[in-house]
Amino acid sequence: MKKKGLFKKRARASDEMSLQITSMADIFTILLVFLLKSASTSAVNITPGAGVTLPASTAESANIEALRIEISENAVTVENEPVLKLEKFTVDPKDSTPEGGSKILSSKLEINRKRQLLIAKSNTDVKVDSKVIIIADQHTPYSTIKRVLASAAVQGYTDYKLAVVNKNQ
Amino acid sequence: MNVSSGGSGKPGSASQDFDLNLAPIIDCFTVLVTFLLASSAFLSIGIMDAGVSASSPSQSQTAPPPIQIKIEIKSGMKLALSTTGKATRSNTFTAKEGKYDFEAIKKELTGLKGSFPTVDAVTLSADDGIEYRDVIDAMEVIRKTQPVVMLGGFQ
Repeated sequence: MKKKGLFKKRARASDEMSLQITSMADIFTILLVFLLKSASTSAVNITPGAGVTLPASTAESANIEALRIEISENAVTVENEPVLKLEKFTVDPKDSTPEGGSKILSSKLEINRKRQLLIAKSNTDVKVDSKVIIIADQHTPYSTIKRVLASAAVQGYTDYKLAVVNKNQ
Repeated sequence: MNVSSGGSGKPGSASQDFDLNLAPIIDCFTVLVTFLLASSAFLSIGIMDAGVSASSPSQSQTAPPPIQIKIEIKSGMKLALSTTGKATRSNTFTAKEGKYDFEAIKKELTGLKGSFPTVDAVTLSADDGIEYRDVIDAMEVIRKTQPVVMLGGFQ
């Protein structure tokens, strides 16, 4: 008999329970507007790889679509594909061209360049681009930067876009 | 949520109040917010323009600027500025309070800009061991007076 009375009390307490959905919708609307505003419209997303710390600068962000070369402590990657092995940011001295570039990196960039030229030949809307985005760790020595840039310059990539972290935001 | 649509307000008239079902809207918003949060980049990436400073036969077709400015970042936190052409000078700035003396470089470049306003390019090079962040810091200082920075030191 005592048990029955207890159940009746509980059922009465949960009768008028309702969730305030209106305020929840307000919060979601604000969140959605904020996220849509800050969302990048570029097709190319420049995201440094794990372990890569970009140097800070006040340079403005820009939506640039170009070939991406990333320099980390252990490797140089072209479009997220590891191409050249580094040891503590240092390139093997044997792998060098007379222009000061790297043979391995140069041959990889040559393939990309040829592909770009072929596409430009068959499609007049596509123009051959000399832009290249350099995503390098802030501790990379200038000798390695020079080697990568020289390899790119030999293949016609002479417009360097250096990726940095925007200090202002 | 109660929404009233053009009711006359007269007592006894048929009520046109209805409940807007917010649950599916919330569902859509949840999916959208999750997608946007997952795809958004929280790191704001900036882009610095740089060219390559290398001599080639095709470059001689354009008239050369009155002076060529060259800045070198040397080991031991030294900065060397040299100009060739109509004005020849060479200065080396040692570190100040354990930092590169970028203020001195800025002052020099401002002076050169006043004397030669048509000059808008600087060739920047660095010793082999100099870190990339120091090159970027130097570029940032240079860009305030000379918008075009060419990276040099190639073979």
